[in-house]
Amino acid sequence: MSRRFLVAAVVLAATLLTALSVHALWAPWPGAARPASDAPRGAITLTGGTARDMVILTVSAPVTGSTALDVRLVPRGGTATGGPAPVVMVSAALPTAGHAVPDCTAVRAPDGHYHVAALPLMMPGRWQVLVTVDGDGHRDRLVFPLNVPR
Amino acid sequence: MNAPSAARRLGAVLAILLSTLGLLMPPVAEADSAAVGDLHVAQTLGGRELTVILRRVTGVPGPLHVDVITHKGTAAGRLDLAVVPTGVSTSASAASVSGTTVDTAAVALSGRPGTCSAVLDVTRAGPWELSLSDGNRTATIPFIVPKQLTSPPETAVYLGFSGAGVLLLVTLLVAVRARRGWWTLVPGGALVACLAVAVTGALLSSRLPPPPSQGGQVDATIDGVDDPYAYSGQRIGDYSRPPGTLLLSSSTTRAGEVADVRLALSDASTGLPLDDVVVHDGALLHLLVVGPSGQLWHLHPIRTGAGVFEVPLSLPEGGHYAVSAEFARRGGGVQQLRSATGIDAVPATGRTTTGSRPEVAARTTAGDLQVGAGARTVADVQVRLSASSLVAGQAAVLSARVGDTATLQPWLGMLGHLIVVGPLAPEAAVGTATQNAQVWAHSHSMGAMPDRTHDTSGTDGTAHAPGMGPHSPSPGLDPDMPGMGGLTSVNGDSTADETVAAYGPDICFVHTFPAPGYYRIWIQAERGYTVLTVPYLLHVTGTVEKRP
Repeated sequence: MSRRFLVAAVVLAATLLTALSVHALWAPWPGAARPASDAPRGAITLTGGTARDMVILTVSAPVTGSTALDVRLVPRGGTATGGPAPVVMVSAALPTAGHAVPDCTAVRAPDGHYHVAALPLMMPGRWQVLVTVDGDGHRDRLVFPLNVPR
Repeated sequence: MNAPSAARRLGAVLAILLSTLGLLMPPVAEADSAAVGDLHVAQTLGGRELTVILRRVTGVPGPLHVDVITHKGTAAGRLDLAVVPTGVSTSASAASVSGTTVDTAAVALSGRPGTCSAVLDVTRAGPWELSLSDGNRTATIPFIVPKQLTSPPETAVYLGFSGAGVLLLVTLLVAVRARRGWWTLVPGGALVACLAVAVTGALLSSRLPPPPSQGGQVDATIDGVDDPYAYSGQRIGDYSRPPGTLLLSSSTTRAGEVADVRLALSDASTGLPLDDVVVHDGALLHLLVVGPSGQLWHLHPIRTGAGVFEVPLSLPEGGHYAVSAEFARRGGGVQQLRSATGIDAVPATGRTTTGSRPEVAARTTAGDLQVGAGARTVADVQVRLSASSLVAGQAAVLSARVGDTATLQPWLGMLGHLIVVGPLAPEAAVGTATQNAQVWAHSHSMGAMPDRTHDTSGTDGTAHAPGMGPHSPSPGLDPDMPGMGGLTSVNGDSTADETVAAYGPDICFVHTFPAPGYYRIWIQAERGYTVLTVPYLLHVTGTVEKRP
């Protein structure tokens, strides 16, 4: 009994140590970011903000090719102002390559959502998704860095 | 089971559990590579030339110490400071306050040159912006609040050696307690495995490339700053970005009036606003303006929007003013953009003058600058310049002695700045001549040149200025490179700021003039919280023919 207990403890400790070592070596590269719960599979959700809105960008397919995007504006303080709804423009650029894509006016949807059907990301790299929120006399420009893998 | 054996078993189990718990605890040691020194940013805010120093943040949430250094003549007043997190994240909670002001503070400027301080709270690591407002203008300075990091190989080293230490004890315990010797191989094997992991990590730690610098090489995100190894993306060899384009808001202004000069930077490839300027040489953007009479402005416009910089400028006389800007984009590489238009100042009489007119040229350069090195007195400080090897294509050594005491202060991280334009006609209006000059260079000095490598005997036809003797290193500094102590960052240490008046008085520049002709040069150095600007006109001869 005592020997089994000792052996079990030693084996457990050795296994645990080995597992921790492997984890320490490989855990720092977990890979992709976490998408929002209601986002399509493989999507990436990034949150940024301005003084007026929290801006949540969901990129449906963050890979080379065209992708749909969803922009959600969550007003600070919980309620939107009574004025007209903001206009949201979306564009993208790959600074290291000097590429840019045309501006897209996002189509307004309920609950502060704005949708872009297809934004072309023609090559892998560290893209910038540029979101411009124009409304209430203000023009805010947000840059969402997005890594598009090969 | 008797009581002593039960106690021993309990002790062994406790030892294993404690060692496991110890391994689960995060290591406290921090990587040197994560250390970031102070950030020095010169700002021309209204009529004030300020140096804003963001001291190193050592932990988050925690304080951000901001020092504002003023110069002689800086007006008293009040600055309002605020910090705003600007990053994006895959975590909604981490980015919930992005774009909102987290903390504010006020700085009272006394009117005496020196340091004024404020403390603001930063709540998390990631990209931030510091805003400074004098009531009329607001400058924004992007900066990164770093996180102390441990690289994966270092983590492996810590875990491996910790595990090996514990397993050594376990191995001894098993060897003593087990009736059969082969049981010892189990913890012994694990011990070897741990040592292998640790040694492998130690060997790899110095060889694995670090992840790209967040904010320096790639666009920073909250996640990237939190764990740059996880969000490093593809490793590429070149993170540089295309050159920029400089647009001035207006190419004409009225002399004698203060006008806001607005500079819009855009990406030369996409045309989009160029909003990835990083601090280099102690400023986001260095603006150099050369006036008709040889005046030089070296200013640091404030960032007021995406790719937009503004600076108030009062041009004293009518004529043409040449403009250039120096900055560095994220990804590396300093750019110098020369405005294709420059600025034409309309004199108060309403008559536009251009520098190409002979009468203006005569008036603006009327004999106030002799050709060659020598002594000048600026702001009651005597500056003596000697120049050797003024031959095109050969490295010229320009040695200046600013005052007579080792009381120079580093400005923009350097002891001296040298601005060179030419070749140009010495009698021409300087603004127009600079606009058309092929060379517009900006060189730096980090102190005097060691005597053994610098022959200042003046044998190349240019003698020392009167009274200049052999250079002597500043006391207490490295005798090999006099004047450099504390000016370079080692292992992330912070460099000396302008409050350290312990350098000089000799500063030395080495510059190769590419073509013969006359060159306007300006030497800049700071002494007594005053930035001295000393003009010279030098003649560079043609390449010396080698005798057969």
